[in-house]
Amino acid sequence: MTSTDRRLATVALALAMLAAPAVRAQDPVGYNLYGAPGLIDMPVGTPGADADFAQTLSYFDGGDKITLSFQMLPRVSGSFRYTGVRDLNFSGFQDYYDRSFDLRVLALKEGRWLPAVTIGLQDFAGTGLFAGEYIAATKTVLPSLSLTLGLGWGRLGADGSDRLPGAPVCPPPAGTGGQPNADSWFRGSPAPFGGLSWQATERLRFKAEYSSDTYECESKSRGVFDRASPVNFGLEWRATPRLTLGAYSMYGNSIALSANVILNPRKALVPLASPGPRAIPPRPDRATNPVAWGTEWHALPASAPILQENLRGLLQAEGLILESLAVGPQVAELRFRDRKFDIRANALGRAARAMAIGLPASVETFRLVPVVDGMAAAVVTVRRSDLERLENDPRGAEELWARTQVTDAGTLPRLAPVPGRYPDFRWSFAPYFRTSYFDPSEPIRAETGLRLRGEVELRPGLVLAGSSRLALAGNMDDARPSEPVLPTSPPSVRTSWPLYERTDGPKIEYLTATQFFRPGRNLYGRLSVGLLETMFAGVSGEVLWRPVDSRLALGIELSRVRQRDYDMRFGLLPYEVTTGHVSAYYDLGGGFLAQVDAGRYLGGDVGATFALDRTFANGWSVGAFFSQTDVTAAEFGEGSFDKGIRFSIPVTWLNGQPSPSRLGTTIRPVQRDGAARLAVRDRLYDRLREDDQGSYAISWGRFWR
Amino acid sequence: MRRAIVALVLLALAGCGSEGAAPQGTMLLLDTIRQARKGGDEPQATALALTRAGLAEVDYPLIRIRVEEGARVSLMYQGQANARHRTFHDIANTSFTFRAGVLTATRGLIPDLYQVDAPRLLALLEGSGPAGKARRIHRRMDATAAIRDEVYDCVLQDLGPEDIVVLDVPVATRYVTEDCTGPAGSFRNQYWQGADGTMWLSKQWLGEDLGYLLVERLVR
Repeated sequence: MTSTDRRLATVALALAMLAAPAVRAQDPVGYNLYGAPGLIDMPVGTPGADADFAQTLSYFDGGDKITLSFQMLPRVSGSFRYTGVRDLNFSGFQDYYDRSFDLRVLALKEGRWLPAVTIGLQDFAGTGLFAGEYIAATKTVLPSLSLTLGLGWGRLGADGSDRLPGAPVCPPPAGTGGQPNADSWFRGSPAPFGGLSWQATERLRFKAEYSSDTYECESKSRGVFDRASPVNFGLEWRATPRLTLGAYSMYGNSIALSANVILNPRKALVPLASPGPRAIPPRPDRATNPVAWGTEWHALPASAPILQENLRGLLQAEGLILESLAVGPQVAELRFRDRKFDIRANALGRAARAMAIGLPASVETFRLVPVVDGMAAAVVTVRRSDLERLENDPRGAEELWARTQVTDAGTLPRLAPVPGRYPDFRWSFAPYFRTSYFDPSEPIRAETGLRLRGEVELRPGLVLAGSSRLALAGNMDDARPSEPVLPTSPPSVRTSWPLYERTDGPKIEYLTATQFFRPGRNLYGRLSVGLLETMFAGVSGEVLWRPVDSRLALGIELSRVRQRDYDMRFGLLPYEVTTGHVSAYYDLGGGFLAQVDAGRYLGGDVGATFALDRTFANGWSVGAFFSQTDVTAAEFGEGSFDKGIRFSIPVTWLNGQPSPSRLGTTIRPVQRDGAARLAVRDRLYDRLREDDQGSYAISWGRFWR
Repeated sequence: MRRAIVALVLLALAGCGSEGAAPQGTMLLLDTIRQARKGGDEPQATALALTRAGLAEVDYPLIRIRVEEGARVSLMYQGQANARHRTFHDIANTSFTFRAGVLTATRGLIPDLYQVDAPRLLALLEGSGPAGKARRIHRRMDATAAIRDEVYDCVLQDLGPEDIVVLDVPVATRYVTEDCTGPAGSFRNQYWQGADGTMWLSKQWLGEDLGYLLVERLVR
């Protein structure tokens, strides 16, 4: 699987946790070695806190695991896990690595007398080695003590696995794996499990459990460890409010260690630490000072450039860029670009304050137009008198939002940009760090080097951009490409990635000319030409219909591309394809965003990708996706079909400094050639996501920050 | 091996670009750790040594604030008045907004008190309402820009005249207390108000992280 330095997110988080102090309510039970809410090896009935994003690293002879878990809803959570068992000698591998997904639903909330009850599916779509199902009930009997009782099936059941009677103890992986194995859920004989969790002190927790996992394959068949007893016990130490370390005695003869980090989008690692805004100067009283409210200034030719220069300076002081200013006696329209703030409402607030400071008293209506890639993204209209009146109102955020209008900016006239604004040149030169996961012969590959990026916007919306990297050290170039599994499998559009790692010298990651434009009301357009991504070059066009007040957006994208040569310079390979999708984006409310992309993929296969993300106003998002195309599971190969999880974390959340940057990554258990989509940059919906009514509504508090 | 050494040396170098430090790669990692270590704020360690004589030439409203936790002490000047609200800034553009001497908002503090709603306290201090039971709401904004209300049940008491000294100058005040209890804890705010309504001295709760804010009016 290919990757970018954005994967650094994981490392940054893990390290920063160690240092970060934070306030967090007591977590009653904690997470288990599987990285799920649980005891030690067994699950519990209580869920994590809403939106908790937990990372767990555990070491145990029965299987080392790294798990990402996300509490998607107060009652629903999911996990993605990578497990390694040393010397398992399974499925043709001496050390066996496995990827698995879990899903958990809280069926019953804990009440005064009733326990919390969770129904869980462990490894419901993997090779099945870790597949188990359970019902777990947990009751807090004392503030510091909770008891758990549960019933397990499959791996957690009496048969030790989801196998049929008489089948081998270490089941060979079923087919290409990766498909929900629903016909084996809750089958066979169940077995009971249970235990307790005691919060002995604020930082110290004691756990003990009776495990129903017999480790048939690992212990009895392969002897990777000796399961001498069903009882496990151990201690957990809350090293920092976010980090918990655990040590356990396992099955009578082994030990286990764990580290668990819990992040939550609502609780920043470092709180926002930026200077406050300038206060809004109230205008002089009109009755006693009518002269100050005159409009004679508007007739003077000098006033427009003076006001523009004032506003340019005022915006610059806030880190914002003035695109143009049109001032009438009562109405002013300010177009600006925000490359500073994590949340657009913050930039709108600062721009509105600048207008209140810099414009004559007669100007009552402020029209703020955030410009994204040269496109006017929305018109936000506020009244100056509302700003003055509500600035210090305890409910100023809600009151101002009720009086703010957000409208489409598609039919705004073209305005001359501020003199000297274009061409706008930006560049950066920095080290990078790339990683690649899940290769059975080398679970983690990494590379470091230098990257030079440049971008010049010649006029609003016309952008030339390029990025080049030079690898200095790493082992990415040792990876070997996998062959198509069947003659009818799609061509190697992604599995050939190791070939792109082999040559030395500078490589061009992308080199493009892009024109962004507004074809009409509610419409946005993009046309890109050049080396579009690391593996494909060509031409790509996109049109998006996105009313600013609609939950629904629709897009169409069409590209004609050729595979790039493996040296990642200007050469091209013979493979050529027309690819494109129609996309629907729907804001389900509560931060949930659904997306469907249907069309033809790079391998020529036809189908659709379905995605669901939980997003937060500050740019946090965690989601999952899967694709179905006319490539069969056998043709697709390992994993059976394309699927994965993705997350994005705003830099502001990490370091407290305002920034529009986000770190994120997409994790696929397996990268194959089916349902592979062109990785063109600057897809319109993502670029414009911050500028619609729904996004402003949930973050309008930041207008006054 | 040589390549690895070169790489390490290069990684130690800062990224550079037209936007200043590029927020990517290694630099971000280092920055994140550094920010996390210091908690994003550097408290000023020393109190401000001030004398009345030293303020003789100051002809604009000036307050001295002290944040209990973190030992931050700042002199703040009045940047803006809007109706009955007064906003005071320090040089780093941290601001505190007051009405009738009651803190109504902070900006740039970590964490901020986004808004305070205490209508009965304001009425008492502005001379239009009685002491007694009152409700106070602290509005806070989380990292996702969601605003949450902390609601407190309070008791307002007018404890009558009290003479105090503010930076060597005796002033006659009335002493008002506000005892509050809520899910986020309990606290007692104290106010010493001059006969003309000037708030000479106050001690006001910012929250669990920062403790109390002490405000002295140095120049009216």
